[in-house]
Amino acid sequence: MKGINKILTGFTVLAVLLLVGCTKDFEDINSNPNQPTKANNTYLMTNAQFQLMDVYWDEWFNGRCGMLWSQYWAQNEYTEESRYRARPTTDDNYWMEYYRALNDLQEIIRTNKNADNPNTNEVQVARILKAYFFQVMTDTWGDIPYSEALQGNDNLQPKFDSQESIYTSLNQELKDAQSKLDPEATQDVKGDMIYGGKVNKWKKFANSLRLRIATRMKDKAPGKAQTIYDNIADGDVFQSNDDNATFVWGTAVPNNNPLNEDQKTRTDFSVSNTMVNTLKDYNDPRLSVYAAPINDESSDEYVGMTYGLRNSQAAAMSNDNVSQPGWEVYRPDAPTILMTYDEVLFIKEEWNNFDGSYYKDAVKNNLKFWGVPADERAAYLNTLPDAPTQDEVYTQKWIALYMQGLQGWSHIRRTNTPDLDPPAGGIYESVATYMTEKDVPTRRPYSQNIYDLNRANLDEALNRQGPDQINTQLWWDVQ
Amino acid sequence: MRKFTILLALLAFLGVQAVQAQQTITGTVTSAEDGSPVPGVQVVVKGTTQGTTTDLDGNYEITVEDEAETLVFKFVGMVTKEVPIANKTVINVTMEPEVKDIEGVVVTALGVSREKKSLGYAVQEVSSEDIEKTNQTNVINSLSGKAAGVNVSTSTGSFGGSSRILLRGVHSIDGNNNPLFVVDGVPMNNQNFNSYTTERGAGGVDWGNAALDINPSDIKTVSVLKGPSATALYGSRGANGVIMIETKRGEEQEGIGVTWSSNVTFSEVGKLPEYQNKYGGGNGPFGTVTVDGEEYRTAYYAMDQSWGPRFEGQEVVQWNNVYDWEQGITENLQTRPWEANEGNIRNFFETGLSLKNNIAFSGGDENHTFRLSYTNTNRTGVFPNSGLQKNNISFNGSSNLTDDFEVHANINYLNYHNKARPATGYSDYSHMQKFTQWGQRQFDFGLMKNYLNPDGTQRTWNRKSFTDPAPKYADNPYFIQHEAYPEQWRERVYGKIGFNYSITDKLKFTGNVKKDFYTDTRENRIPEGSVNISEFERDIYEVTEDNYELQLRYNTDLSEQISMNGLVGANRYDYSYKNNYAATQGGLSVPGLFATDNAKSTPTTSDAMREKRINSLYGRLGFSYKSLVFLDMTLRNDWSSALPEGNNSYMYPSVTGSFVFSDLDALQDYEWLSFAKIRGSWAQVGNDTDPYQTSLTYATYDSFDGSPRISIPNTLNNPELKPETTESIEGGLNLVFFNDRLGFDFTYYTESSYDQILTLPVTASSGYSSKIVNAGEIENSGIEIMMNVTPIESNDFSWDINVNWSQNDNQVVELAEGITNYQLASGPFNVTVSAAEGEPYGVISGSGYQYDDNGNKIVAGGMYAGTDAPINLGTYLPDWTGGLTNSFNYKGLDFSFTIDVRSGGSLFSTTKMWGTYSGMLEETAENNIREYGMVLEGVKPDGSPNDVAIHPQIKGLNHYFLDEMNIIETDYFKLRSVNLSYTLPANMFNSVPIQGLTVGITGRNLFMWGTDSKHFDPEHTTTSGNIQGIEGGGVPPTRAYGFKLDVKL
Repeated sequence: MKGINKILTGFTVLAVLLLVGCTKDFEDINSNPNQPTKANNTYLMTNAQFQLMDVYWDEWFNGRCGMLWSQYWAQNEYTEESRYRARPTTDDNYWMEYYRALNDLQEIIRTNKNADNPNTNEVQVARILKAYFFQVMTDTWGDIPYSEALQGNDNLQPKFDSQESIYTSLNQELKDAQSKLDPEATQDVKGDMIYGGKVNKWKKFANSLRLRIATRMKDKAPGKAQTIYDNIADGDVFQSNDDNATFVWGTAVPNNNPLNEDQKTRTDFSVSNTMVNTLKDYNDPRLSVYAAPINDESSDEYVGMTYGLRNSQAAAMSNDNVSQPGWEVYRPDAPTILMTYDEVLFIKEEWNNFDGSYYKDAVKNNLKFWGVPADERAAYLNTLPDAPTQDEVYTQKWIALYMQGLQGWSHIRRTNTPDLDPPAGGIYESVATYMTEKDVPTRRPYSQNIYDLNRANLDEALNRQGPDQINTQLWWDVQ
Repeated sequence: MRKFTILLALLAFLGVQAVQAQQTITGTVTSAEDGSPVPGVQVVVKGTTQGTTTDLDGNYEITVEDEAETLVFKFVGMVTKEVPIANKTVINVTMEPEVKDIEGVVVTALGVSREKKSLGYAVQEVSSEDIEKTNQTNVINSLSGKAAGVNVSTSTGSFGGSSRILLRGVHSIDGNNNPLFVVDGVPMNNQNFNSYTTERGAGGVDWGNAALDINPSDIKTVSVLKGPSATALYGSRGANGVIMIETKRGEEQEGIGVTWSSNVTFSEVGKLPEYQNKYGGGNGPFGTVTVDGEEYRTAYYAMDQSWGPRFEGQEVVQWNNVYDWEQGITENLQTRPWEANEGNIRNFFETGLSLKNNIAFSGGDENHTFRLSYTNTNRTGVFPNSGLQKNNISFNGSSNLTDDFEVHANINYLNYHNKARPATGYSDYSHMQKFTQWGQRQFDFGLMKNYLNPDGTQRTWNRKSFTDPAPKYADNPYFIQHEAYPEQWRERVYGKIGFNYSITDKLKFTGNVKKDFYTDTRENRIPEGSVNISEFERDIYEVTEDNYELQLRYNTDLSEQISMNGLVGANRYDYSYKNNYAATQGGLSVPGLFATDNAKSTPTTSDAMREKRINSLYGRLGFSYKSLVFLDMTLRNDWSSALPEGNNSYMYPSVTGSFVFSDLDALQDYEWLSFAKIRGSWAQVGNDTDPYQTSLTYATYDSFDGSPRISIPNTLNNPELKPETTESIEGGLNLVFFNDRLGFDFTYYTESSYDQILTLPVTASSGYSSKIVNAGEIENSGIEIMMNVTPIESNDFSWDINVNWSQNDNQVVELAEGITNYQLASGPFNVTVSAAEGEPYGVISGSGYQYDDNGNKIVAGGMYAGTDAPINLGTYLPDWTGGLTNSFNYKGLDFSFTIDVRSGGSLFSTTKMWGTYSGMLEETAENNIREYGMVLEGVKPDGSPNDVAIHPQIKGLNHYFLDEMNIIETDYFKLRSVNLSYTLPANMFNSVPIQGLTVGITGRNLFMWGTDSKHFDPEHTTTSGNIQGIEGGGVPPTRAYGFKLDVKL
C-alpha cells in the first residue's frame, strides 16, 4: 500500500504541476500578436481620410446615386438605379461605412482630450472633416444621429437629430474649429493627405464649407443663413484653385480611385444625354474632358446616353455608340473632390443676387480646374453673358459640379435647375406607387440596420420628418 | 509374371492404405439446455474442407484421416465447439446456446471501454463493414442515414468539398456546431477555412473541412456520442457531440496477415436543371453585319441571357465563326444553323474515375501487435481536368514490455493534392452559374473544347461584340478548368504515443502525448485573357493541436453486489494557427508566371497567428449494483486562455443512471425479453471562444502610398466575457426481444444553451458595427428512435432491417435585450439568414407574396406583388430525418441498400431566380408563352381574378423582386448506397495462401425522389459552418458505381 500511496502522490503532483498550474502563461497566449494595442493618430487620420474619400466617391454611393440622380451620368445596363431605385444593400453598407470611418476621427479627438500634451490642430482638422461628412450624411438621408453618435458602448441608442439642428451645429463646429487652428503650434498635423497638414488651408476650407452650408439652408432659414454669410470674412475662404480641398489617389492598386478600379471590369456608366447636350448647346470645351468620344475614342463625336432607359432598351444599345466618361475622371489618380474655389464664387454670385459680379470668374476657375487651356477658356467666356439670369448661373454651377454627384444632386433638389426630364423608361416599379414621373428623389431610405437596432429613435425621426420614402423632402429642400 | 504383378499390386494397395489410414467417427449432438438432439449441425475436420451435417436425430458419421486432430461443431445460435479426436471413434457433443452479448462493450469518452448496458446515455455504433459499403472517400458522408439524430449535409458533387454534420441540432448561434472527431483517442482538427463569401453563396472555392483526411479504409468502428452526458469528459470541445473512431489494429495470430483491397469507381453527373430548348441567346432579334458586301445575321454574343430568337435553323454568324474568321482559320466569314442543343450541359461533364488501393500488414503475438497500412487514392472528377490524389500511411503498434507495462504508438501520415475543383456560388468561375443562372441555350461544348486561338487569346462564347473578342462576363469553361483553377495541397501527421501501467490489478496509470498538425496550401490562378484581371494568390495554413494527458483508473468491488470504477485525469490542450496569404494586385507583370512577386502593383499580403491553451482536470466515479443498476458521475474543470483572466475557469458536472430491468429475477421467465434498460442523464457543458476577444486592438491596412493606416476595429471586444453553457437532460429506453431478432432504442432529450457568445450588431451610428456579448439562449429538444429487425435468420440466409428516425425541435429562445434578429449572413442577392427570436435557427428572410383575405395571391400589373418588409421564408433545418438499411446475406453473398429520408427545411435558390430572369430554365419557354404571354394565377388588387398576360421575361423580373418565388422545400428520399458483394467460401483456398477473397459492386447516390426541386439537388452546402440555406451555382450532384476486390493473405 505504501508503494501505491507514493505513486498516487507522485501522480497528483505531476499532474498539477505540469499540466494545470501554469495559467500564468495565459495572458501571453491571449495577447493578439497581429494587431497593435495602442493607437497612433497619424495612421488613424490617413485611414479615416482614405475610407471616407473611397466611400464618398465610389461606384455605389457616387456612381449609382448622386451621379445618376443629378443626371450627370446614365447607366448602360441594369438601369434600375437611374430609374430611381435605391438598392437596400447600398444604404445598409454605406450608413455603416460612414459612421465607422467617422469613428476613427472621433478617436483622434478622444485620445487628445485625455492627453497631457494635446495636438490641437490635429483635433480641429478631425472636427472639420467630421462636419463635412456629417453634412454629406444628412443631405443623403435627412435626420440622423449626430449629437449622440460615435459614443460606442456608452450610447448604443443615439437619438436622431433634426436636420435643422444638425445644420446649426455644423456651422458652430466649423466656426469654432477654424478659430482654434493655430499656425504657430509646435505639433504638426501628420497623416493628412488633403492639405499635408497646412493649417491655413484648413481654415479656408472650414469657412468655405460654412458658405456651402449657409447657401443650402437659405431658403428655409434665411435669417440664420444671412448671419452666417455676413460673418465670414472674404480673406478667410478659398482664394484660388490652389486652395481646393481634394484627395488625390495613387496610381497603383489598391490606392487608386475607386471609379478607376470599377471601370476596369465593368462598363456601367456613360455620360448622360442631359449633360452632353447641355455642353453641346454651350459649345463647352469641357465636353472633351467630361466625356470620351464614341466608337472607342476613334472618332470625334460625342453622344450622350439617353437617361433612364429600361434595362432591355439599354442593353440593346451598344456602348460603342455613346460617350463613356472621360479619362480625366476615370484615371487612377483622378481626385475625390470635396470643394473647389469656383463653388465659392458661384455662392457669392448667388448671394449677390446674380448680378454677374462673380459669374465669369466662377466659370473661368472651373475651366482652369478641369485643365481647359487658356485660349479655349477665353473664347468660351466671351460667349457667356455679363449679366446672366438665375437659371444660367445655376446651370453653369451644375456643370461645374460634375463628378461631385451628391453636391450636384443637392443642387438640383434645391434649385430645380436645370429642369431635368424624367427617366426615359419610366420610373422604377416599386416607387411608382408613391412617386410621379415629375418627381426627382429627395433622399435615400434608411438602412435596415436602424430598424433592427435603434427603432424607437427612428420612429421619432419618422414622425418628425415624414415617411421613409425617397420622395420625402428634407428640411432645407423647400420646393 | 502375373503372380508378381498381383503381388506388386497388393503391396501397392496395402502401401497406399498404409499412407492413407482412415477411421470413421460417429456421434450425437444434443442441446445443453434440454438434451434434445440438434439436426443440421456442421461437423468439420479443422483445417480442412471435409465435413458433414447431423441428421434429424442429431447423429452424424464422418471418415477422417489419421492425421486429423480436431473436429469442429458449428450451428447458428450456438457456441461453436472444438473437440480433439484423440483416437476416439465415438464423439458425442452437447452444444450451448449462444447468449448474445446483446449490448457488448463500447469504447466511450477518453478511450474507456465500458459495457454498453451500463451506460446512461445514447451511443450509436457504425461498423467498418457499413462504412466500406458506402464507398465514400469522406468518412462524414458514410454516416449519412446510419444513425438517428445524425444530420449530414454535403453537396455530393463537390470534389473534396465540405461535409457538415450536426448531432441533435444547432447549439451555438455564432460558434462551432460541429462535433469533435477523435481518432484512437487523438482529437482531430476539423476546421473549415472557407471564406465568408463562399459560405454565403457569393462565390469562391469550397476547400472542405479537415476531417475528410480520415481514411475510411483504416476504420474499425465509429461511435457517435451525441449528448453532453456522453461527452462531458471531453469538456468544451465535445459540447456538440463526439464522433469516436477506432482504427483496425493487429491481433495475436500466426504469421503476418496481409490484406489488399482495390476499389474502382466511376462517377457521373446526376440531376441537372431542366432547360428550355426553344430560344437562343440574346434579347430581341438578330443583329446584322455586312462583310465583303454580304449581309449576315449576328447573335448577341455579349448577352448572357436567352431571350433571343427562336431556334429555326437560321444561318447565323455564331461566336466561333467570328473567331475563326478573325484568326484566319477560315477565309470567309461562315455561319452555323441556329438550333437547339438539347442535353448540351451534360456533355460538358466527363465520367470521373476513382482508384483506391489499400494494402495492410498486421501481426502479433501475445505481447506485441502491430498494423501498417498504406492507402492510395487517385480520382478524376466529372469536371474536365479535375483530379485529386491522396496517400495515407498509418501505423499502430503496442508492446507489453512487462506484464504490467504496455507502450503503444499510433502514427498517421497523409498527403493530399486536389487540382481544378469547380468554384461554387455566384462567381465568374462557377460553372453552374454560367450554365444555368445566365448563359445562352445554344452552347455547343464540342466547339468550346478548343479554348485558345492560334494567337494564344481565349475563345469564349461571350465576346463583347462582333468587333471585340474579349470576354464580357463569362470565360470559356474549358479555359477555366485548364487555365484558371484552384489547387490545394495538404500534408498532415497525427497520432499518439503513450503507456499503460497497471500499478495493481485494480489501479491503472496511463499517459499519452497526442498531436495533430498539418500544412494546408491553397492557390488560385487567373491568367491573362480571362474576364477578370490576371491574378495569383496563395494562402497557407499551419495548424497544430497538442494534447498531453495523464489518467488514473481504478476498479474495485466494494461488496459482493456493489462495484465501483473511477478515473481521474489531467489534460493540457495547445492550439496554434498560422496563416500567410499573398496575392498579386493590378495583374501579372509577366503573363503565365504564377508567382505573387510577379505583380504589376505591390502584392497584398496578410498574416495572422492565433494561440490558445486549455488546461483541464476531470474525474468520473461510477457504481454498479448487481450489474442491474448503474450510476455515473463526472466532473470536469477547464481553464481557457481565451477567456478573461480572473474569469476563465468553468466547471461542468454530469450524472447518468441506468437500470437493466430485464435482469431482475422476476423477469427471467420471459425469454422473449432478452434485454431491457431504462436510462436517464443530466449534464452541463461549457464552451469557450476564439482567442483575442477580450481586449482592444486596432486593425491595420495596406498603407496609402507609403503612409500607414490603422483603424478602430468595427467590433467592441468584451473584457468580461463568460463561457457558453449547455445544459441537457436525456432519457431513453432500450429493448431487445427474441435474442436480438428485434430491438428498439428510444431517446428523448432536451437541451438549453445559454450565455451564448455572440457578436451582436450594434447600431452603426455608435461608430461600431458590433460588440461581443454573452446573451441569448437556444433550446433543442427531440426524439431519436432506432429499430432493428431480423425477420429471417437461418444457417444460410439472413435478412436484417435497420431503421432510424429522429426529430429535433430547435428554437432561438432569446437573443439580447432589444435585439430580436441576429443576422448570420446576407445572400449575394436579396435574402438574409438570421437567428430570430422565437424561430428555429437560420431563418431565411426576404420578400413574400401578398395575399388577400381569402388567401389568394395578389397580382398587380400582371406580376405578383411582394411584401415591403421581409418575412420569414423558412429555415434549412429539417423537421425530421431518417434512414433505412436492408441487408440480405446468403452464404457468402451479401446485398444491402440504404435509403436516406429528409422531411422539411427550405432553401433560397439563386439558380431559380436568375435562371428564370435570364430565360434559361424550361418554364420560361413552355406553352408558347414567349409568343402569347402568360397569366399568373391570383387576384388583382380589386379582388377580380387576374387576366393580365405578361411576357415570361417580366415573370423573370418578378422572381428578382419577390424572394418567396425562389424558395425550394428540401424534402427528399435518396437511395444512398447499394452494395452487392460475394465472399468466396473459406474452403476454396486450401492450396493457395489466400485466406479470404471478397468481390463486390457498389452504387452511391443513385436515385432521388419525393422532391419539390425541379432543377437541382436540395441537399446543398458550401461549408461545414453555420451559414446554410442559400443555394446558388452549386455543383450538380454525382452518382457513382464501383467495383471492389478484397484479398486476405
